[in-house]
Amino acid sequence: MKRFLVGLLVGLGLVWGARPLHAHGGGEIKIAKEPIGPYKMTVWMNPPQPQAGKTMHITVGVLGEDDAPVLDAAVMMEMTDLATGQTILSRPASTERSTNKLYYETDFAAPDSGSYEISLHLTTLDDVSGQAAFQTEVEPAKNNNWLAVGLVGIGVVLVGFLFYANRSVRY
Amino acid sequence: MDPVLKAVLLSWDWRVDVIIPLVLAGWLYVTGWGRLRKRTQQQSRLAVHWRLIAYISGLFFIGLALLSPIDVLGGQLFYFHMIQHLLLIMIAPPLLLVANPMAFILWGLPAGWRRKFGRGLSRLLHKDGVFRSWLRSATTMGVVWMAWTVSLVGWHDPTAYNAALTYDWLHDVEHLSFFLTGMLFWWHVTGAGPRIHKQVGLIGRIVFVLSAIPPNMLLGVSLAFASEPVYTFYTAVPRIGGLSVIDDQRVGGFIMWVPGSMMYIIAALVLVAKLLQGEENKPPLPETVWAEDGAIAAPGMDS
Repeated sequence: MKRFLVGLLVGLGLVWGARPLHAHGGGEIKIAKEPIGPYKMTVWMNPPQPQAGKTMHITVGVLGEDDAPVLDAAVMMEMTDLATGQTILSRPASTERSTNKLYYETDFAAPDSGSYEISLHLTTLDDVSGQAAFQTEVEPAKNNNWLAVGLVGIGVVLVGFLFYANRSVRY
Repeated sequence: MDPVLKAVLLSWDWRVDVIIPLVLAGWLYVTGWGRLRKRTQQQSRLAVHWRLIAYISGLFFIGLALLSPIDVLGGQLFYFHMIQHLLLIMIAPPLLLVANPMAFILWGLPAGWRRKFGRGLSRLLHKDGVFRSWLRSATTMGVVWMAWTVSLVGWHDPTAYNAALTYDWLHDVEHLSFFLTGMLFWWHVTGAGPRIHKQVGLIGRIVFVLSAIPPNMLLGVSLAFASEPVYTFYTAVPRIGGLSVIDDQRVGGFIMWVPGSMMYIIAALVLVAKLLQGEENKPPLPETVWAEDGAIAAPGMDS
């Protein structure tokens, strides 16, 4: 049993480690069906209130004729610090990185808190190109690790239960 | 293959926080089932194959609901989201509970843990215990029906629904509340352990299971016949298969209304069959009762 449990946890740990490579998607809609030529672009940001140094995901949906998904475009994300006007991050969003393969996704972390502009540049196979942008506030990092809190909580309940189970009681 | 279809089929979300509990729950049950079966030399009415199949199927449907494209595309197609909810509310819970999981899971633990947990549970659920008394009053049929209905209707409120699609943690809370209220609902119907409530007869359980249909049907009908999109989240997403937002909503409402209600009708029919089987198994009345002159002259009339 112990060997099985250790094997299971190691295996799942490896899966867990590989997981951040894939952005989860979803989040708050920041741009809804912004026209770019004959195409439209919808952009989500997750989490809706990003924190400095913590991963944030940008998900992009490209809509073609009849709002059908377009899967063969190129999408580039740029993050500009509004205080200095400098582009601090630039990276592609792709369907390979996304959980939902109908969307383009990229994940990154803002180095510092502050105001940023995130722009998405779209280039399609028929040479249509354009961009859409939105502004966001990145908050200072907070150290509330809910996963650790949850695991400690479960541990406390379990220990309490076992203590309760083993105490001597007379009925 | 059509690239959109290929993209849909490849959209899986391998969530470790879902996989670990499913694998552990499955492993404990299978181990416990094996041990109990061996212990009873395969004569037990408890460790039978159909229970094992039901339990594994229940876990499979939870996995399907939370890991497969059904989950991933729930933010893009309303009807996928409704299928996911049906799996979590009315498919997985009854399958898990007819398998009577508590006993098998306890037997799946190593002997030392089993004794500790078993002792803890029997103390916690002792007939004079405070916890048992609290749990019993917090999970009466009426309370469970109310919680189930509030959860079902409340999460389909447009604000709550859109918020659940925006915040991952809220989406998990939504699914957890559907699953837990579903488990509590089907706990009463299946009579699975631990049995802490006064046993309700089959007729009572049939009425209870049928009482789930009106809220489910009303919600499904109101969505199927709405003239405007209720959930604005879907108006900005790429459409799959040319299905418009409103048609997607109609299909989702229909799924909730017809197949959703049908699950409760099937459960009620199973209970009716059980009821009739019970009547059939009753011993026949002695001849002295039914063959007397008065009874033959006017059958059904008491003398």
